[in-house]
Amino acid sequence: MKSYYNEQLNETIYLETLENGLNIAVLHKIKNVTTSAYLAFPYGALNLIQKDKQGNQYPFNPGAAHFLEHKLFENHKGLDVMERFSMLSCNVNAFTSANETVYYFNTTSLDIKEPLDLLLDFVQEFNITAESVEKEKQIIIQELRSYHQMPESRLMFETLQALYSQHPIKFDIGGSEESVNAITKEELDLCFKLNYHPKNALLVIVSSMDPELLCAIAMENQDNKTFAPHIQLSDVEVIEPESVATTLKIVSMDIQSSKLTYSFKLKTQNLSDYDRANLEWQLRIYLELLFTSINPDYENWIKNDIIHDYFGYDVEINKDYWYVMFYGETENRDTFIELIESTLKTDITPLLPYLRQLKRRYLSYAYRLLDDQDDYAIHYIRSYFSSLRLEDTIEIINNLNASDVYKVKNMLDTQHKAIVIVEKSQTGQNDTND
Amino acid sequence: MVNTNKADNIQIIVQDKFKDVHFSIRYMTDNKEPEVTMRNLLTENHPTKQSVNLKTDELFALSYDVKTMAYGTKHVMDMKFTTLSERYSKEPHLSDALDFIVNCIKKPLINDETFAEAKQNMSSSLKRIYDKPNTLAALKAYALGAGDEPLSVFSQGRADILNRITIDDLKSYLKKMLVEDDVFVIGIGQIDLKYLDVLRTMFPKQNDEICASYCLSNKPYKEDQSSKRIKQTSLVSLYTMGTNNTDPNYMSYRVMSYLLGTLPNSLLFTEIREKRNLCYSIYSNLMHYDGVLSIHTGISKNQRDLVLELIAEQIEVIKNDGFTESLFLSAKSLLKNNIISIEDDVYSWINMSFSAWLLNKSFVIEDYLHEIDQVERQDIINAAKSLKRLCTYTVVGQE
Repeated sequence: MKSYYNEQLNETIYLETLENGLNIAVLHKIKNVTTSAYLAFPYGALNLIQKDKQGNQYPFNPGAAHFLEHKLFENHKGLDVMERFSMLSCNVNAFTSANETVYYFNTTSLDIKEPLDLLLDFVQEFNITAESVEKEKQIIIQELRSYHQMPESRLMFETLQALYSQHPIKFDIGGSEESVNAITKEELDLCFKLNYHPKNALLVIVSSMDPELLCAIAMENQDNKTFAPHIQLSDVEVIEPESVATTLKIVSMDIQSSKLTYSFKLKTQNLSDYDRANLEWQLRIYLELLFTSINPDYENWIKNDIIHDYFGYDVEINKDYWYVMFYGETENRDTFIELIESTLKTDITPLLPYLRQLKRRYLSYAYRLLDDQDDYAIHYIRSYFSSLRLEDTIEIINNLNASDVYKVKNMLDTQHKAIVIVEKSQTGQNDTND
Repeated sequence: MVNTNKADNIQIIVQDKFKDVHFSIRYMTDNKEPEVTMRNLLTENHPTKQSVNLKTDELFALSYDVKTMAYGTKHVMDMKFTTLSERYSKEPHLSDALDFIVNCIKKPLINDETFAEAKQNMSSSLKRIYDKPNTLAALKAYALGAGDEPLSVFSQGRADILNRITIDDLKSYLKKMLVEDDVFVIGIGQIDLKYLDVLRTMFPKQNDEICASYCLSNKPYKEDQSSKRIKQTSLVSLYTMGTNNTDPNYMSYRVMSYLLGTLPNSLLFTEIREKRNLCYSIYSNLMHYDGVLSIHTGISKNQRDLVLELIAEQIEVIKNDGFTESLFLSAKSLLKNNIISIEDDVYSWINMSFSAWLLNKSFVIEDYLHEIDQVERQDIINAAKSLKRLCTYTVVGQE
């Protein structure tokens, strides 16, 4: 294995690629008692229409990646996967996000071979019945409903639906009740076959154990398996119009506090992963300077009851969808919108000297991330799939300068905007005083 | 084997594996109104001003997080601070950070502006909490089952009391709290032990005996419900246990809850989700200081009665010794695993150390592991037999 020691971070990473293409990274934490292993695939909710080199297209229902994640926990060789991990003193779980699916366990047991083999085995074999697919639909629909009735989750979901008419970001990660009901065993078989080849996968292990030993366990496991030839895939490009799907959307919910978002699409550009990350940081800093208490006007916004503690922004600079979003909780939506629009036009020059303190803050956050095994591993996985390293984030923050931050003002064109309101319904009960 | 050495109210755990230094300063008093609402209003007077932001960034992203929670008969205000270790900041800033922290606690900025802002924030926060159907179901269940006992007091306060509090009330309450509350302080990270004496001077110990645990009394079973225009129905059932975490055999209740509804392959999860596909999430939870076990799930409204029946059946399975040996061993083994892993998680470490202090002992992992090893099948059966169904609250969705 190749090892990389970063003196500044005081962290060592060991890397290996096996013959079948499986990539392994051991994030060596010599003083930790827990070992965590994550088997990750760069296949998530956004990969809805894939194509191979021959031009064959493979369209999937929204929610297919998430459904597949659920079904992989089906009994493995007649044994309950959850029960087997519990028997091995391991907590096991998985998640599907926009761009990846990750299966993981953690344990303090020193006998790591069995759980590591189990992780690799249950994720790399897929053998389910059509009947079990049908049964799982009821569980997933309950999961979707639980998120849908949370006002904050609903606000974010409705906002993305208002912004995008074609891009798969408009769908919930788990899909909709309709799309989940449409998913079949054959569709899941195809998802698995196309996306779960070891050449696509990354195994990350955070542990104090000998990295060579951990790698040897994975190697022995993989040596005993054969896989179908790897299929090189890419996503079919989606033509998303510059305009938004809906400029004003009002959704009624049985809640006590109305919420809203003001968001706008940015024009995407063809940039490298590093340059996109750099641009996202510049935009974040720009918005942080303008829309937080660093800006002396912020206190007046609170005093005038335009914003309160539920106020913030988000910026996403992904490969093919870029947007900025502000969220808040107010009955006075016009004043809120006016505040966002006028503040975006203000001169940021007087606030630029605070860039130094923000850099200090975010560099400290970057160190902080490494103390949590899950955060460290997931950051590593996402950086790896985006061809970035943790050091790149630190380098980008270190190199941020006032003139670059100043320049992003020109990008913040609110022409393609959407306003989404999740408003309290007239019959909403007031439970607060009970 | 249990370490019964009374723990100090000031603790520093020197640990160089974390890149941050963490402090938790916990003020504690009786869990009752209007004090609880007053304390929550104080938590909203946290620093948000530009000058404070400048200072916290200067102190290497010193983060300041104030939360309140109930521990049985006690209400705790937890002020957590995190800053980068001097090993990585390359600057000696810890002393400055501590001064800043203590200043924030003892001399918060309370004026007309910050008071109005704090009230607005707390009011909004309460509305957000009650807008979450599963949280609403849990809070209603606590109120339904607890009567006038401490579990009925919502740790985040009440809007009607909030409306009546004046700025003078808050200022005088702060003075009283700083003098009369019990205080527990813990620091974890690369911290010089010289700070022990500094902290002892700042936060002297008030009481020798603290008793946070009590047993919620058993009452005739009650059900209640409300409806919301949402698709899912949230259900919470409470059971009294007749004992709490001061019981020398309490570990058997922890293992029983793991087996019933905490393990990934628990009885509730296996029967109600995996076999019957009636829910996405179902779990049990112990309220160690109230002597209560709660069960939470989200279902379709027409499955409510069936789910309640199945929950009761799973408890009967344990009472009748009908659980497998592998499930029993899994519960013990995973509970042990989760105790050991606390050493890698600062916040769990802080919480366990505080809980141990409340029980008048030190947090020693080996003691907990030994207690788990001692749990036998019959202990689990006995624990399940002591459960008495107290109440069920349902927030009914309309589908």
